Amino acid sequence: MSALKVHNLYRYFGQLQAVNGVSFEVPHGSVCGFVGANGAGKTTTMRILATLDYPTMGVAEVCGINVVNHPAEVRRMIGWMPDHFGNYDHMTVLEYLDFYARALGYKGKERRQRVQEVMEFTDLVPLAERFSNKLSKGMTQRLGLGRSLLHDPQVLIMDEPAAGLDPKARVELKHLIRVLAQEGKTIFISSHILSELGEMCDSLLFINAGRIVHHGGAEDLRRSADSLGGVLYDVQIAGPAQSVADWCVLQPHVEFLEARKHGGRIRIEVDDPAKSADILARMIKDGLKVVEFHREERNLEDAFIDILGRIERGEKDVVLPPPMPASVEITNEVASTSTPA
Amino acid sequence: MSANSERLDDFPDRLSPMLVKELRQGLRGKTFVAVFLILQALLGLILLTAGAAASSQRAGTFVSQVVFVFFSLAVLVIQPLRGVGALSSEIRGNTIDLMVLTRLGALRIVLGKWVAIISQSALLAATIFPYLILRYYLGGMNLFAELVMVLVVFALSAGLTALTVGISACNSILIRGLLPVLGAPLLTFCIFGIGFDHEFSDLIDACSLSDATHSFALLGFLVLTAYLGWSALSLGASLIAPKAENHTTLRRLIALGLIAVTPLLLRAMHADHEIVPFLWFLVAAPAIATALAEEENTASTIYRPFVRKGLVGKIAGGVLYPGWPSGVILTVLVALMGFAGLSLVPSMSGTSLTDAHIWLLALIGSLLLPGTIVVLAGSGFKDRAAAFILLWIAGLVLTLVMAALCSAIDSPAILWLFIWDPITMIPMSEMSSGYPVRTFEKNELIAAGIVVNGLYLMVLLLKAFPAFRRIRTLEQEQPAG
Repeated sequence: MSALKVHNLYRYFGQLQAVNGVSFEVPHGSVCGFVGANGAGKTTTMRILATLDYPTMGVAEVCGINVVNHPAEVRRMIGWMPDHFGNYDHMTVLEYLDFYARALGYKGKERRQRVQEVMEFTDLVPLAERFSNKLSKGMTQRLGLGRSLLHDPQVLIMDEPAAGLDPKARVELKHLIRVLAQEGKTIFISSHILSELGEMCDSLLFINAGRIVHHGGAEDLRRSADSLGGVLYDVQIAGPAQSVADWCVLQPHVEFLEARKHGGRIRIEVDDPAKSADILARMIKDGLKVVEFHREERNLEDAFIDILGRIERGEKDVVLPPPMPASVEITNEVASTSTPA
Repeated sequence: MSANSERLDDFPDRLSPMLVKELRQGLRGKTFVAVFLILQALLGLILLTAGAAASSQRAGTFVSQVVFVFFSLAVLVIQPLRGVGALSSEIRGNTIDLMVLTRLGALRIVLGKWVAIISQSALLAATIFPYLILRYYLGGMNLFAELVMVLVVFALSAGLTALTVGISACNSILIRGLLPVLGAPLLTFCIFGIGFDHEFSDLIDACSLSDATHSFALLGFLVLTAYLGWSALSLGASLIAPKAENHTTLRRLIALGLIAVTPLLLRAMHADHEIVPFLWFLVAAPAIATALAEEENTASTIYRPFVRKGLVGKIAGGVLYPGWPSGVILTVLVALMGFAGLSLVPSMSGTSLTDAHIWLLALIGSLLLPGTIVVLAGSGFKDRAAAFILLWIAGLVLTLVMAALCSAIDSPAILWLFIWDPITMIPMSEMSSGYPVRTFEKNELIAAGIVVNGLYLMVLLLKAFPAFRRIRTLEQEQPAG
């Protein structure tokens, strides 16, 4: 049985198709990264799994339990960490965690013990008496993580937990997530920072316009993107950086990817050192004062952009979901939660 | 375990977590401490001053007036105003979701917020007892009546706090802003007006419960306050709860029960039928407003419990399912119950039943108009409940302004142009009483009311019809029995 299972999930808001036939499974004890642009459907999918929203159609299960039919049971199994949440005035970190421990049904010694354990795990003990609304973003995220762990959930659903964190806080959060993964918790985490997800996730799930466009390991993804062919080069020149972009426009098999301070990043479609040498020679011949020309490793961002580009160009098939049955009429707020026939 | 954790036993486990949270925050907040200290300082000062003039019989009454005016200001104005931000701050802070995922649930969150403010109001109420006891020695005091008065003020405070806490779940800053901007000054004016006038003595007399009418009136007041307060809290819970939760059915059932029972009680108490439209409105308005302002809700979990009860469940669901389509049926039912209730209560003062019918039609129409606009606008209104309330207020203001204007220019017939806002029928009905000149025929008013209200109901029913088809599909998808 999977920790998370989503099958043909749809969520429409009026005419907006936020989630459009998403299906995936996340095995127990694994860390799955959920990646997509803003508005791709990540948060909506995660909120449905967290029982905070409900699908227009389709099935979502946590540890085999349907989120629509048995929300209370599901809530006991999940820890939810939204992308942002406010803290309270006149309430210390200790009282904040105590409130949620009480709300989760802990009493007496057990309650105090859970609060203490969570504070130690998230390194919040020194901040116990600090007002929760006076914490830095990093501390707030640790507090949020602590809150979501109070009832020792099997599955953690984290929506952009690293957003807005400074590098130090990000490293700390990453460390905590790694420890939780080692403890066997299933972690479903969304982020914009693909490199970080690549380091900590067993699998990555890419969503675009409400549809899953890739599901696999980080290495699979790099390899699948490599199958496009081509290699990446960083080109630095003495002179206006725009010259590199202008030069690329006129060259066959060379694509300008991204401007940088003294040049840019280019993709050469054929992975052949001799061909790359030819292109460098042409650059110099055409008057570009090249001061640096070196090959770059393909990262996950490149892979993601490649996949999106291939979909746009029609070179990659998206596994299309079954269409919504005609009997389901879309109103402003329709939600038939039944499974499609 | 650290000393920090030991500190967490400042409140016992049996208290609601929400109450513990609110009390921890509230007792540290400046508002409560400031209100508490200012109230004590003022009452102490006034009592000392009055004590100096203790020989005067008037001193005792004056002390009572001062105690009640400042106590009322604290618990009827300042404390309820603290509820205005109760849920909106949680919604803004994205903390409602976090709480809903615990065992708290939406209603317990809202109740916790309310109880926290009320318990602080109770603390304020408790502190005025010593002043009332001291005032007793100044003479001329009806101790029982004044204690009942404290209870009445406290009950009203609880109702008003429930209203502000419930409405604080509305997104609309306009509706939340109306309470402090308009409500608070109006209430303050009323408190001073009643507190330092001869009406204060009348109120004390009424609170002495010397006859059955006063006792029934007090009981009715307490029941109505409890109902209105609960309706507001339930609305707040509906607004913050996940869509798949049903807070509507119980609210509608209670409203239906109260609407059914009220005329029977009025008949038993030999009350006059004139009061029926007014009481009907107080009970029906929250039910109809929340029903017509609700979004269509087609989460399957909502329908399952009804479908399990077979045909009876489905028929009941037609009135009790969350969402405006069943709200339309509820509105029809509640309106019919209003007329039935009117026929049950006899005229004790010899007034005509026609006037009561006009009032009832006008009040029903005043709710149908904003309901129709909100339903027709669909998703055009982000906060439908707030839109409904604002439209109702706008309709009322329009009527008041037009009635005053038409009266001033001596052209009351112009009011016919505003009959689409059926509450206009109330000033028209008053002008039809034959003083100084009969302006409107009552039968014409009733006919107009039936036509306008019928039109609004027809629009609502036509809009609801396709929605009911969707609901039928959902019912068929649910496992029966």
